[in-house]
Amino acid sequence: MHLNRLSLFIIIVFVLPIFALLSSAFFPYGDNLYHIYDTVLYDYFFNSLSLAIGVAFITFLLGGSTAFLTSMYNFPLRRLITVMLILPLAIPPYINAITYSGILENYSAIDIHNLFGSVLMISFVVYPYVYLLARGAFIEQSREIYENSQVLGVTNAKMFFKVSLPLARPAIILGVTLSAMEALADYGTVEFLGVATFTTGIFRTWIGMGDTISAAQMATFFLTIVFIFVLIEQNTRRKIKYAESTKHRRKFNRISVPKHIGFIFLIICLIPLLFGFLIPFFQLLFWAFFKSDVFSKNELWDITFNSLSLATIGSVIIVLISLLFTYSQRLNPTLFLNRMLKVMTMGYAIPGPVIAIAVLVPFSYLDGFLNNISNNYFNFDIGLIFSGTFFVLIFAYCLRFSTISIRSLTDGFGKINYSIDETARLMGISERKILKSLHIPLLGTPLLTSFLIVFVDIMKELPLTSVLRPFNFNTLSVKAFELASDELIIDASGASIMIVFAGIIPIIFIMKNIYGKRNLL
Amino acid sequence: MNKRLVISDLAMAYSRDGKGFSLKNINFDLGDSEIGCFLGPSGCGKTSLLRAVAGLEPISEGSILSNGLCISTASSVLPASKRKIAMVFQDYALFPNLTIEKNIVFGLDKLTKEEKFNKVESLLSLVNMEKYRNSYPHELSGGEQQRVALIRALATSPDILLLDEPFSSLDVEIKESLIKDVKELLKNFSIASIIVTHDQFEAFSIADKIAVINNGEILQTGTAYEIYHEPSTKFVADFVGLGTFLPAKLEGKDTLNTPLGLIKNFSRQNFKESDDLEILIRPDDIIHDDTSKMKAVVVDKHFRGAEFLYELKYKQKFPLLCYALSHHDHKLGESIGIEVDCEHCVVFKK
Amino acid sequence: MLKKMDYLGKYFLTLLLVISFCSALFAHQHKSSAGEVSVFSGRKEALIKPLLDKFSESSGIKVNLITAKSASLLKRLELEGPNTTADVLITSDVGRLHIGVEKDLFGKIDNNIVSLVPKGYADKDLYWVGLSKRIRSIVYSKEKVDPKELSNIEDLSSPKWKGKICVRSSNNIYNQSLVASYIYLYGEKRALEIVQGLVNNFAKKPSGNDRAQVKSIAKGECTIAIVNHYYYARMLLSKDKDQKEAAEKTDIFFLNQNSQGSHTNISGIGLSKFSKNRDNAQKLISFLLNNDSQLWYAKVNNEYPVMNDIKTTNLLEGWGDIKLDYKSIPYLGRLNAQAVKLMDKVGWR
Repeated sequence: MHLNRLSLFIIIVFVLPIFALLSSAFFPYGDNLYHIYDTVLYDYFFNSLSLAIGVAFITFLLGGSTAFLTSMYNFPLRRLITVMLILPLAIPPYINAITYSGILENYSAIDIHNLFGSVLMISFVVYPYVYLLARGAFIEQSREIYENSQVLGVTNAKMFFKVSLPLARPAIILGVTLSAMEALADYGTVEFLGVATFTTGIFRTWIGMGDTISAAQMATFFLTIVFIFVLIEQNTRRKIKYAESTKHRRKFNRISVPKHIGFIFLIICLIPLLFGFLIPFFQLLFWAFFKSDVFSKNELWDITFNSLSLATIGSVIIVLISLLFTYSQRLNPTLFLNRMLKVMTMGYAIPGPVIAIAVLVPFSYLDGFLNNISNNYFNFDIGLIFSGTFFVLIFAYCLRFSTISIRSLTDGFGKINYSIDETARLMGISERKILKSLHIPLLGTPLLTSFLIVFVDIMKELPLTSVLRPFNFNTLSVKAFELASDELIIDASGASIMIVFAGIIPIIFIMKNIYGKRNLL
Repeated sequence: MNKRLVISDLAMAYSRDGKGFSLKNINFDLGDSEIGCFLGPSGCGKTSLLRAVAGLEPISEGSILSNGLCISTASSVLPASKRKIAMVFQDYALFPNLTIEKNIVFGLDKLTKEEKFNKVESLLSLVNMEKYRNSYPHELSGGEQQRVALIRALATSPDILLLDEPFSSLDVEIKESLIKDVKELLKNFSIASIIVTHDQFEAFSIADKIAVINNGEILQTGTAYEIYHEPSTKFVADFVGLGTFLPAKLEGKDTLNTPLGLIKNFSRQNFKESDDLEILIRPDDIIHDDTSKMKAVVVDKHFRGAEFLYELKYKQKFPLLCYALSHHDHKLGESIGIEVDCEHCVVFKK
Repeated sequence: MLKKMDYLGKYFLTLLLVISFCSALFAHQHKSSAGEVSVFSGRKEALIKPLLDKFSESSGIKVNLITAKSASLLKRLELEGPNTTADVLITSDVGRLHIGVEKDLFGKIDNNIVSLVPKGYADKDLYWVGLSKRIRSIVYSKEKVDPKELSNIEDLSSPKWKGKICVRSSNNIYNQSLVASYIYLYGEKRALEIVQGLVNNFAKKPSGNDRAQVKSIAKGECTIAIVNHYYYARMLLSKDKDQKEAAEKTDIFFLNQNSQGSHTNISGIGLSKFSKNRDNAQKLISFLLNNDSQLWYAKVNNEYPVMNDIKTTNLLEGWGDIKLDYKSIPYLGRLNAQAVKLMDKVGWR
């Protein structure tokens, strides 16, 4: 009961900024809204929609196919490929686009400065969402699929389309939605590649025209559309019941295929890996080592330490509050908390700078209020204890990134039968022990996965970090983006490479934990 | 006899999944080492009732007493964790991340290491599963998982043990022997227990006392024999066993006129002569006898190993069921001889 | 409430509090103190921090720095209000300084400092001073374009350049400022015609950065590009062979030399209205205007200093004396929204 109250209190604090943003819909229309409607709104809408659909489609192809092949078949280098396929997640889409632009600038035949280029640049580095989630689903059902197909004597293709895909649908749809949301919130990539989307439009209105109200109203309109899509997606998921994951999980021997087919599978899996990771990574590495002296500067190591600490703290807090929300929702499900969680999970589609301003506003007022009191009554200046510290930054991270952890923990809890909790309760076990000894171990995979994704996302995050960080605190992403946006991609390569390295280490560690321990690699 | 559990005038508003059915006027009690059973079709509310006993669902009227202590009323509910009631769920709810040993000792925090070890040892030996001590649940078969769930529930020495559809996910072949084992185990522990099931054979073979539930109400409580032979309503009669209903009329003081003939010495109960009545004829009321003059036509037949179950038509319109030893192999459409041996006359108003 | 909370609730709350506390320790909240000055900078760290370090070294005053987009920092300054810890705001374009003035975020800088700055490059109400100049210039293909054909901006909208001009997207502030200056100079109606003509001459959809436009000329996609002068200079001086070669196929041209002068934006600095270290802040502003600092912009980023009579680099000096359109500068900020709308109308995306 009281856990619920705590969750409710915390989540209301979190969603207030979002509601403040949405409330702009009730203001009179901004000065420039008619102008925007007349001239550019259609372009923004068309481009954003195309971008989201394109990214959804390509990540589905890349993530779905690689997840299926690596979980069902044996082919050369499979173990290595399985881990490496997640690595593109460590490369920020923006850096990816700039790197490719650098590589391709001498070949005019391939032009990525368009909508299709943006779709590719984003898809190649976000498909791991689909891959990670789909792989989990395929592994759970792999044995049954295999046995069924053996019995029925169906072809592999039919088995994939008729059995595996429908069973893995909820996981794949979640992955695809996350990818599409990331694409919608993207600013750097589309701006660099010259595609006018809702996100660039919001900035143009805010910064270029100085019209905050119109910008907020555009953001509201945009979020409403996103929210409708999210609701549709969640409703399709609700109809599908999860298979019991804890029962009968025996070691699955992957299907062996003839050499030439194995080779084809290897090539299929290498495509996203090559374009999403190897090419940009080695290009950056080349620039960092041979064209600049970035590694010789001490500063880079300090910044790396900053980034790592920030990402660790941020992701621990995010996973913890997500656990709090989802656990209290399990113990005592309420419609209100459920609705609030839905609102909070919209954060992933809100462009970073919009969140930055949305959280700065209330905390600045709060600080102002506190300082007034302390100055008037105690003659003491307490300073900006909320808006001037890491508090506001971590808060903003929570709003932006808890989507992933809330959703994967909700799914994780959904797979643990209530009878487990009830059995333990009937034994007289405290809720704390149930959480510690049963739920947390059983949630191992979603906990680690969400920690990993949030960690890497914070490492890559730019707009929130740059505006909300305290004085004299620089991070790898700020460094890399500043240099890259000032057309100094070679100087930016050092920091970019460190982001990738910092992402790779936890990815490998956690992959070993998730898959290695359970013999699933 | 000392009552371990007393449920009086209980009513429940809604089930957890919100489907909206309710339980009402529930009265049930259980003696010290009695095995009770809630029998009913799926969706009748029997599982909700069990969950209310466990303290997992609130009740809206009445009370539940355990050992004379009130554990549930509409206004106050003793938490499930303090009831000393254990439950075996339909899916067994073994903790998949813990070994069998850890599963069993999970609720035994107060014991020392050595006590725990011995407890596990003795419980596992009861079900002949000593070698699985360090296995994980997913490595066991369904029957083995069920036995572990059972001894885990018994490990905490509860006052009452609840079993929700314990045999429903088991193969038919092993079910019978398992039911016997479980009954023996429960009697050994002399623990009061309640089993929820939709299968009357399970109920008959394990329970001392059966409550038949339909649409949220207990229709009848009694022993297997009583339920089968003296069903209080047509639903109970139909649900607990095979049989057909034939029209009947009361004639005179104590005679019942049925298509199969007159039945004398019938206690007329509250029936009037003008009432249209129905008499229940179970397959065991009809005896097959090739020499009998009374003939019925074979409409269908089901092979049951040692015997056939024949579906018959008497006088072209009255359906009957009849068992016959399986060497009496008659063709469809053939007329065969039958005799009536109706010991318990179960009659309902139409 | 705490008393009533069950064990698990306390467990979670404690965990959260402990972690928040740890992160707060790790964070150390900033509070301004006497020997410090705190800077919000829209200039990138690489283009300001070395100079600030020099200032610390020479004056003994510690400099705290946050860099981000000027617009975001301006918003942060506005929201923090009287409690702000920032003493100065450095921006990379004059429009943001203008917005700062409009929102009353700046305090007056000492007239002795402001008066040092040449006319047109500091605010007449003393709210900001310029630090360096950035010229929006033309880069053309040596092979395909005779520089005699180039004259002023109106000329670029003539149909003879159809399909020949490359420029980045209109989201970029430098393009917005450029158009704003034409609205100031020619009035909205004429500016619309000029920009429409310019857009009709685009060789391709605007994308990429300024450097990419120069590369496009080298690849033969267009013959003229609109580029900030320091990006071009950086390419010429680049260690990267490809960049240098691309730049060497082209040359730079400054528009409107016979009329109002080339469009210029400035990077500038304003003093926070609620600065708690006003003296230190003014010392910093003076420092950023001294000869060494002014030369530093030229050397490190090929920007022209705002102060006169500073001998910059060979490359910049080699481009000669350039006539600049300083009169538009005060209007760039207030005409920016109009410029953006104008670009929306003519389809400059």
